[in-house]
Amino acid sequence: MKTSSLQRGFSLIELLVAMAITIVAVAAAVLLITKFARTAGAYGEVSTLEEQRGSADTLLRADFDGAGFNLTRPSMPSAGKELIQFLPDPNFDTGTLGSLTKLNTAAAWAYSSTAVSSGISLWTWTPSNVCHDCWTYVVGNDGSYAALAIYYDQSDGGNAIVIYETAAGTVGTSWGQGVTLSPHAPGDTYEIGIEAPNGQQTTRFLRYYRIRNGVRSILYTSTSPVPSSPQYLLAYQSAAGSAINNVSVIAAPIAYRSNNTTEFARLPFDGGTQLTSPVTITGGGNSVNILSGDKATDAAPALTTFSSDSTQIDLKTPARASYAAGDAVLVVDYGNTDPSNPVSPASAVCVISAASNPDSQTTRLTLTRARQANPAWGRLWSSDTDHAHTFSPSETSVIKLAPPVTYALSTDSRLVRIEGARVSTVAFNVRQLNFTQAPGNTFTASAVIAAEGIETANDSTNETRSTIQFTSTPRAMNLASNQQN
Amino acid sequence: MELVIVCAIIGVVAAIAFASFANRDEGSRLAQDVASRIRARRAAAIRLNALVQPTLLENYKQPPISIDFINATTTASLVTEGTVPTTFTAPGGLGSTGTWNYVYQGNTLTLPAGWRVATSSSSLSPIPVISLGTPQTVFNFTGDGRLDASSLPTTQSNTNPNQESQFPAIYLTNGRTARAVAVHPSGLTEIWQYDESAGTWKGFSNRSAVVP
Repeated sequence: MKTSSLQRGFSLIELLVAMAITIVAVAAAVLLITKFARTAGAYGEVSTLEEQRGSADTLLRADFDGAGFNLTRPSMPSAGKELIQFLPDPNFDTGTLGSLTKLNTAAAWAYSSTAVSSGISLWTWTPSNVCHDCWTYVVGNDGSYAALAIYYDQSDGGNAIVIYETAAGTVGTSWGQGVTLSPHAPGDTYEIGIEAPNGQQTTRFLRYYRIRNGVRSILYTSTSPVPSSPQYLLAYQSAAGSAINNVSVIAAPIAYRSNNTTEFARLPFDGGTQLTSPVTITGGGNSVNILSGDKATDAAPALTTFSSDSTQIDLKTPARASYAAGDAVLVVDYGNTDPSNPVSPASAVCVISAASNPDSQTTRLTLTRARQANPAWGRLWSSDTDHAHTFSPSETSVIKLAPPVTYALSTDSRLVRIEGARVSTVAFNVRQLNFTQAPGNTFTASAVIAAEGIETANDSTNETRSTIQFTSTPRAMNLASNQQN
Repeated sequence: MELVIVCAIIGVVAAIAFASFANRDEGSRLAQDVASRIRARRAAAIRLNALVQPTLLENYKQPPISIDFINATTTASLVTEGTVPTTFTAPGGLGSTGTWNYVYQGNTLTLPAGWRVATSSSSLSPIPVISLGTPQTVFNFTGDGRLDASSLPTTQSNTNPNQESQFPAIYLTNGRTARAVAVHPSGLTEIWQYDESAGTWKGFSNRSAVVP
């Protein structure tokens, strides 16, 4: 029987070719899908990496920025007569309290480190025997000022005095412009007073004085508005050697404009580390301990004495307060440097075993002392010396503590956050972790995190990485004068 | 006729392959969906608290922002801005805790056919729980993105960085296999996959949780 050529079917060659084409097509499809799947997986890993970075960054910043809350207090504003300290400036010698000497001819101004927050004040200074363009300004917060300047140099015969105000311009001189002022004499002392209203003046007003040979006389009484509070002192001299001395202010309150010294409460031990700051860097920069008060509970003044054998303390119920059994508090005495009543600073970590309210104004806490053998959260404790301290109500405040926080690197490269006695993972594949402290209670944190490394590269030179890097200046550790926590 | 039969066979095979391919990893996609909703809620907690946090002169507290996987409505996105956003009602009494008035938008979580949220270790059985992962379906986030204390399982006192503490996790299962999304107290989410052949849970980089 003869078969038609149209019905003979596929030849072996044709089948092999078809199979080869099919195999190539299927292989290409598989490779494409695999590539797609790996790319999608890699995107997922990078996305997870970014989530970790953002999550860890947020948490680190929150912990650093909140460090020391309610555990610090600002440098106290002062009152009375104080010599003026000028802020450091390379053009001036500011090393002597109450003096300012120009070192060169640069156009530069020196700023006082203190300011008068409100009320009346009297600013006093004595120009040096040779004083070129010695301007002294009382400057307000709004930039307005009152200034008195002299030029005196016996060698060139120069001798002039001028009073200048922002609002009125030149109001008095020794050369006939404005009120006539008698020329300067070596040894003269000058004063600018912001004075209280009197029989003639209905508001605070400015008055300029000169003290010559012990006799004080009025140079000029201003009709311009007083520069707005707070006021500080500004000074200018044009020649090297020109100076103003015995620069002082009488006022209250006198606040620091900068260089505040934020005072820390005496802090407890965290594990085996005596904390000296709310942020304590340990392990050569690989870990950090952070301590702060509870953000939702205000610090409260004590009402009763808490001595070594006390188990209860009464405190004034704060506006925002929440005390429960198991909470930890720090009983703080900042100490007292008054020679007539010296008191060493001390603090005692205690755990609340009961809390009650004897009346609407008072909270009574029954406390168990946290010592090395029974620390709060298994880590925070005070020394026996601190627990032996007698905390008098006039000097003692009670601060509810937030659980202490530690950031550290685990052996399997996880960034962990230990809050109280709970260890939590913050990020995986952490390649680098470093904490440092800069002057002025400023801290830097940096960390390098790598992606999971299953679909992305997993060798140290090619792996996908992300970086956390920030600087924190915790508010409670850098308080301005009289600023609350 | 032959051509029609061949086309039909190809169509059936393609449909089966497509359906199989599409559903081959629905557990992982569900876990990703749950994790993304948790992350979104954490971000909303940070955002909302920043918008309405009390000043120093206002004496009230804000409760945490929560997501409840048993109450499907709460799994939709929270509206944080716009004309009708989630708002906060301050309490009447000083020092008290106010309330959030949640406003949601978008899709709620939909479980694939056969999948469910395991609310406890018994409902996950015979699959075991992660040794450190306590089953949980509600997560509450604070203003800085941490899990609120009310969301944390009890755990042994521990300050060793190499030993993790117990963390909450939401478990998803179809009876044969399971996925879990762990929410670490720091707010970090981690997806875990149950390896049926080995009978173990694998987390980030195939790590396993170890109880001391």
